[in-house]
Amino acid sequence: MYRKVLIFFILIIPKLLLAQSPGFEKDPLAGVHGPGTELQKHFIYHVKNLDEFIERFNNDTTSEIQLYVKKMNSPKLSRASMINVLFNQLRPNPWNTNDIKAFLKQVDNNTAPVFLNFLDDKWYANVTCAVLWEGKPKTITLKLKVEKDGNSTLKWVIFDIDAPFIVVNPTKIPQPTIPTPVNNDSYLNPMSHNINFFSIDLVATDTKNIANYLASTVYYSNSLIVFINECLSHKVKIQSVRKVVFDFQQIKGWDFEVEEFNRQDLNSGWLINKLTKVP
Amino acid sequence: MLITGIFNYFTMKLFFFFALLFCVQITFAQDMIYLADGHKIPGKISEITADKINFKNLANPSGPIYTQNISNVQLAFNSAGDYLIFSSTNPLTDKDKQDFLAATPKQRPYDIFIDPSGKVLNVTITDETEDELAADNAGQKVKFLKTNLSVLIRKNGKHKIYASPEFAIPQLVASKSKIAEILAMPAPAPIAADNNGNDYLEPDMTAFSAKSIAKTQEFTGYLQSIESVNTNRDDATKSIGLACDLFLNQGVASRVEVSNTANAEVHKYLIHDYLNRLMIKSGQFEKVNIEFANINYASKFKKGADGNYYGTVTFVQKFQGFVDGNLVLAEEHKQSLTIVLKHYDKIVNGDKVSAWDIFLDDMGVVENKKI
Repeated sequence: MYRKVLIFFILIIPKLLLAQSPGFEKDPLAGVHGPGTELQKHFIYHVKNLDEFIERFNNDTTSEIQLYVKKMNSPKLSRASMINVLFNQLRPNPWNTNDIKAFLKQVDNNTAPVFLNFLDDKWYANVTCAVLWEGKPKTITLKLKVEKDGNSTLKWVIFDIDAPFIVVNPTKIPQPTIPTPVNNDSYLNPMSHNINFFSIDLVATDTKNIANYLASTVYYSNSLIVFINECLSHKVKIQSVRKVVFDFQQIKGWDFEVEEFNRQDLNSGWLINKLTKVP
Repeated sequence: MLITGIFNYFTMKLFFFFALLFCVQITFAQDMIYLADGHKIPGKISEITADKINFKNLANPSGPIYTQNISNVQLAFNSAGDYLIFSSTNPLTDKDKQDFLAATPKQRPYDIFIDPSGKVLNVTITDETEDELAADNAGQKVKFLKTNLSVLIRKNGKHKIYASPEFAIPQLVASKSKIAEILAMPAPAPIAADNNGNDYLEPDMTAFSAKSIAKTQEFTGYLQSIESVNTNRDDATKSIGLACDLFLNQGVASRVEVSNTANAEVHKYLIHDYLNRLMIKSGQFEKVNIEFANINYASKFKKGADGNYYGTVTFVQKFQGFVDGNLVLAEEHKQSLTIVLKHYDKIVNGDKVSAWDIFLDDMGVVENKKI
């Protein structure tokens, strides 16, 4: 039974991907009933987390979807078709198809293909959180990046904040005194992004180890200093993460955003929702 | 009956006393005599004459002195890491014997390897597993499979012969002067601890990826049992306990965040409380259908700042609840489970070695309500 399910998906995935043009034709196989349940079919299509997004974007031969294809001796998936279905096809604002074609041409260049790299500096996460700020409900966006040490260990750290309600006089804020952490096991592990950074609330509660949650830098922006001081004085409580958007600047001349779309459509999961040309 | 119980109690006490004594003896003064027939005898060598070695059994230090004919002995190591080769063609001097017997364990400047080609290396071991050693060799990080070594003499004087004695003994003879040179060298500067001292040998990721999927499947099995209306409450409670055992520190600090695509509500629970909630929720229905997609998605592990490795496994579950034969709740749950590949130390043959095990940790659940 399991084998039949796999055969079904492996046969239809290449057809679907090859059928996708930058103009995002409707899935020609939508509604077709096969031996696999809708649950399994959706799970295969769904881009389940950012790691899978990067694997598909890079057309990684070790990615789960490629392993299925290889296992079933199905036609090889082209990288362009793979990336094409990583765009949010149900976006209310229509895409500029010329931009997408130019982007694909650059990324899927035969002689100099461009890949995404988790360890590269040029990307970060915008984590929008519902907080109680001095008792009042507010929304803040924390900016996080992956920080690596010399021994190739990784952690997510906060390097800035976007909170329009914080009004500061830039000349009058001294850098905060951050305590030396008492426990180096308390930090945002390198897979925190796959559970929507929900442990980010610890930055405001585990203040003895707050240094572990912050970028290793001698300078923080004024807004971030205010946030850190509020955390240290226990005046802020992070209630929940509302939204996570990853911003990639790893492709020269382009900036794109990836966010999650949980919906009952085969084009779902972590998808590109914004593509901008940058000079 | 009572007398038998008391007797057993004191027998056990006595056993543990002698076992402890034996361990203490091994820790403090372990010499090893290698016989020509391939056997080796642990003991404390007390005298070496022209034709005999006298030694005591470590398990019975106040017991008799045992004797082996020199002609039966090939090699002896003392607890300080010094060794004597017994050969009829090259007899030992009195000074060799006196130095060997007088030596006491003390920290040596280097760990010493002899490889199968007979090359002697002075290194500092930084980590080891049952199969592999990581070491600093004059500032270079190097790894050795233990099967690729002939002899290891540790800084603390303990030794291990990986090759057969027939193969290793000629190498030990040839290496004697080189080892003496190494022991006369000053100790190297302490190695700066990378990564808070967590610079462990990398575990076998392929094996642990498979193990993480297996643990996730074990967890989903318990989920099914907890949510099934056919499971009685005692069994469901037992399943909750067993599921929690799969988590880091039995799940005392592992959390679950549940969000719903239909609204902005987000709730956090400890794993035990979350599983209890599932059990109570299922109890509201006469019948439930639970379906898991046959496929899990496992991400590749990444090394965290604490030296442990982290991955996630994502799986999806469909839940349908019926009352009076009518479908009243239909949800899809996408669950992303953190997998921790955690380092620990274990003792193998008296040596501390690195080992790894898989645990589950924080989980994100996205509920997609259909009815």
